[in-house]
Amino acid sequence: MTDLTKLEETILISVLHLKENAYGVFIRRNIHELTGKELNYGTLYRLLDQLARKNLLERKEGKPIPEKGGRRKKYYTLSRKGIKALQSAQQFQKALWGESTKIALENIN
Amino acid sequence: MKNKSLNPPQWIARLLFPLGMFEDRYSLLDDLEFEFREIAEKKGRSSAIIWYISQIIRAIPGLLLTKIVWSLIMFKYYLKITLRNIKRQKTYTFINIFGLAFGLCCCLFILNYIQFEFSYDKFNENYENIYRVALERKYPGRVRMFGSTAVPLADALKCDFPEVVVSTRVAAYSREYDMTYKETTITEPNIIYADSAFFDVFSIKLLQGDPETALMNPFTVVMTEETAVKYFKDEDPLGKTIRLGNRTPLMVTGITEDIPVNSHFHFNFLTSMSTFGGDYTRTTWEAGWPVFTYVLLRDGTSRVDFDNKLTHLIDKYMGPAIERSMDMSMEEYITAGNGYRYFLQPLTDIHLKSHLEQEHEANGNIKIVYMFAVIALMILFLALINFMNLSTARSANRAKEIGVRKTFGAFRGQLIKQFLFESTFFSFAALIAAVGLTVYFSPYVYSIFGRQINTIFTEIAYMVPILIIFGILTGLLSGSYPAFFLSSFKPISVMKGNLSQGSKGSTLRNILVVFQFTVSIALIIGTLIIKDQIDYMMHRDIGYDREQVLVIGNGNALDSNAIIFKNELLNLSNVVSVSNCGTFPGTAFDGETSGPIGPDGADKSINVSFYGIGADEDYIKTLGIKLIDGRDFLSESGADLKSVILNETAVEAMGFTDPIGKQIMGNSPSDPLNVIGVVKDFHFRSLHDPITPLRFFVDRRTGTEFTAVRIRSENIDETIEHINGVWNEITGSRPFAYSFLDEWIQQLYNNEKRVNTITGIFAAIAIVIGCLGLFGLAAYSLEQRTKEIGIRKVLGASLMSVMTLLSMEYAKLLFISFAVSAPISYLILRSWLNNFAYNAGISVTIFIFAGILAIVVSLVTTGMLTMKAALKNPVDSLRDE
Repeated sequence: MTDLTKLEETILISVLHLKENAYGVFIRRNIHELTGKELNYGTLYRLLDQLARKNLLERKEGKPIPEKGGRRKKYYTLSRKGIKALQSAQQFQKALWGESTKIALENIN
Repeated sequence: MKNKSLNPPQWIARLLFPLGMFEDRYSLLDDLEFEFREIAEKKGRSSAIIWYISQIIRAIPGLLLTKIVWSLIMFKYYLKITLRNIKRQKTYTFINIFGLAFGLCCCLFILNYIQFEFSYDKFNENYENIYRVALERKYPGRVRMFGSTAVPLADALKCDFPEVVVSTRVAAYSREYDMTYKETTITEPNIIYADSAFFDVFSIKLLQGDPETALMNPFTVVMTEETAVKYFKDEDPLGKTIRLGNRTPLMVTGITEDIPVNSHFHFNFLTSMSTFGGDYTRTTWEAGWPVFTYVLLRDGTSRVDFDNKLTHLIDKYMGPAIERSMDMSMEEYITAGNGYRYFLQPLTDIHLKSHLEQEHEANGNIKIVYMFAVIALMILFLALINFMNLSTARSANRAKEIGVRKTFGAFRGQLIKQFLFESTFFSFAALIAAVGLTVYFSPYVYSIFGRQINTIFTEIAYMVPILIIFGILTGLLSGSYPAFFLSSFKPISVMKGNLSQGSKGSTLRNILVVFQFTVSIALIIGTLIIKDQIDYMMHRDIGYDREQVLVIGNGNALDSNAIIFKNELLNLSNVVSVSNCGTFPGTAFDGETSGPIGPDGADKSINVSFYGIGADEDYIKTLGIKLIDGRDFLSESGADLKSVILNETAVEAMGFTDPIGKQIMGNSPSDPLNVIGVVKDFHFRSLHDPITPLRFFVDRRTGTEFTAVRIRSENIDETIEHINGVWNEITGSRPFAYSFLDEWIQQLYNNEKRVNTITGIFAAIAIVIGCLGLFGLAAYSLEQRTKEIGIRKVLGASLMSVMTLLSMEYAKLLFISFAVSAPISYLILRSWLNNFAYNAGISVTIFIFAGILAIVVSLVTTGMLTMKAALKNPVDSLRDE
């Protein structure tokens, strides 16, 4: 399994946090709260589509919207594969940013 | 509160629509709307709108990327289906692609040819400003156009007109000479001269030597690299001396690159003009037209304006020249019906459009180039029609597949894309195959064209984008019908087998097939008629006996020994008769005009153009021309120097009822020639042209150009050896070149033969394409009619009657094709035949043959299919599927 890109990882984490509420708007806001980064919709949906294609996310249908003729809103959840991806990303991160790296970064000019 | 002002502007959202249907499109819009409302509440509608717009614009790149990714995925999917379908219908696919590839390949060849023909002389820098100055001469009763002009013209142009940057002269008559260097002697047929400005006008690169001075001095020569190797091999040729005609030493002052094929003139040797005195450097305006004059005009000079200025030359120079030579003033001359006019010919027009008297080489013909262009378009059209027909037929078999896919949720749009993808895929496959075929067959094809077109495509850069666009257009066009038509099927009707699409569109398909065969049959008829005409021309009685005549080209090898040579040959046992003559035996040169001289002096009202033959006393006898009045020339030297023999047409033109003893003009009215004999008309020009007035005269000066030898039919090889022996003895083993008269005459019609071969090939191509079309049509419609056939069989029809019924349908199409093409081709070819003074007419058998061929072809093509359909077990055809 190939590594996640930074943005992919960010989105997956956001979906992780949002649980059943991972609609487009909320993901975007969540990311902004967490990291201060502002993701525009084009990028966001591109990545969501990409993650869905890679089977890291699943699309689910939520509440129907009366104004739009009963169409259901789509939201995202982590798939099994997605969870595993996050876990390995976490390990990777831990390994890289262990004590020695912290110290090295502090001691450098 | 669902206030209208809380909704985002819809029209902006529509910007995103073209970015395609991706799954989350509506979610995105909803999300944007959600945030829009929040911001509208907090900061007001205008800020919200600004935000909305900016969000949408920033979203575009990301969405574009998604769309691209999905297109690629769909592509892979379409490709998979296409490949799967190819596997399932291998034969159809192959025929379809091959048919188009074949047609495209033909077009590519034609395109290449056309491009080549139009590229002549464009290797010259400044070719847009280079012109040849040509001459229009009016005589009473006719106008003649000459490519060649008088010697002083070039200088006059340069001196009198500031628009002329430089002018140059190139010889208009080429001579055959032996060229010798050390032990190598070769008879060179095409030796011309040019003046020292030659390299300023023409961009022929001098590999060695200085272009400014190479042709300045007398007795210097420039040759092509190829030629130099023949003589000098590894030696450096520059500065060495090569001998002309075993007499004149010429110093090599330059070596040029080989002359490109697409130049309207070529040379192996180019001598300096100052080398030739006497004959060639006739420096007066009235002394004939021995040179081609080319000018390079200043950038921006208008051709029309300059053309008009050329009349100044006539006034300034021709006026006095005419007074000198003809004893008339210019006005009198013009009133008598004569005229002089110089005009410009753009350099690049010469090859295709110039057919004046006096050209360097036989030029091409723009009509033929246009004809080929039309043929190319026709073939392309036929091939495309076929492709479309067969694609439709093929895809009709997939009705079930469409039904299934629609049931599983395929959108109509996707199906359309699928079909378009397939047909574009096929069209590109055909394109690639076509290019491959072209490359593979190019050596064979170019040998038919009789020339070497060195590169396959001289402008590849042009071609590639054109081909790509063409491939896409073909694909889309031919796929459009199946794409839109088939994707509209309702799954239920498909599954039930209720498709009644047999009738729809079949009329169009039939018309297309008829059109294809009309073209094919017309081409066949055309080819046969042309072939008939060629046979006629080659075998018609030309008025003398052309068999068993050996022609020796002497160059200047014999010189004064010509008569000795002749007498020695007569000693050989197999030699019947020998004649020395000035033109190739059986041909004449276009001479001057002449008129009868009556008792009151020259009759200036009759001014007729004569062809001339310089002959000796045995010419008429050797060739077997019939002398019908008077006598032949006498053999004593000095006799008959002022005598002429005329042909029947000449006698008529001169208005003589009793020609023997009458007189006609020689070089001038005060130089009479006596008519001593009359010969029966014979063809001294090709059968393209009618027989015109001809006069024979004794010309000792140029009498040694050719020797015609009539030999017996036994032991020809031996005889030739003997003759060669005599030649070597007398000339000291100079190169001995001979040909047979009858063979030489055959090749006069090479052009027609070539055209005929090409027409024949195209006829074959058209038939092949037509058959492919018919095959496809038949396959398709027979498939549609399986039920009908099954029912007929059940009701008792015999195999024979079913087959006849089916075949008749197709034979009917061909009858129609024949009926349409026969009158059209008749009319077109009859007008072509009128170009020939002598033609064979059009025979009915050709039409009968073409008609039968068409029927046979149709039966063969559809035979297998009709048989298969007729043999099918009714049980299978009527079973519900």
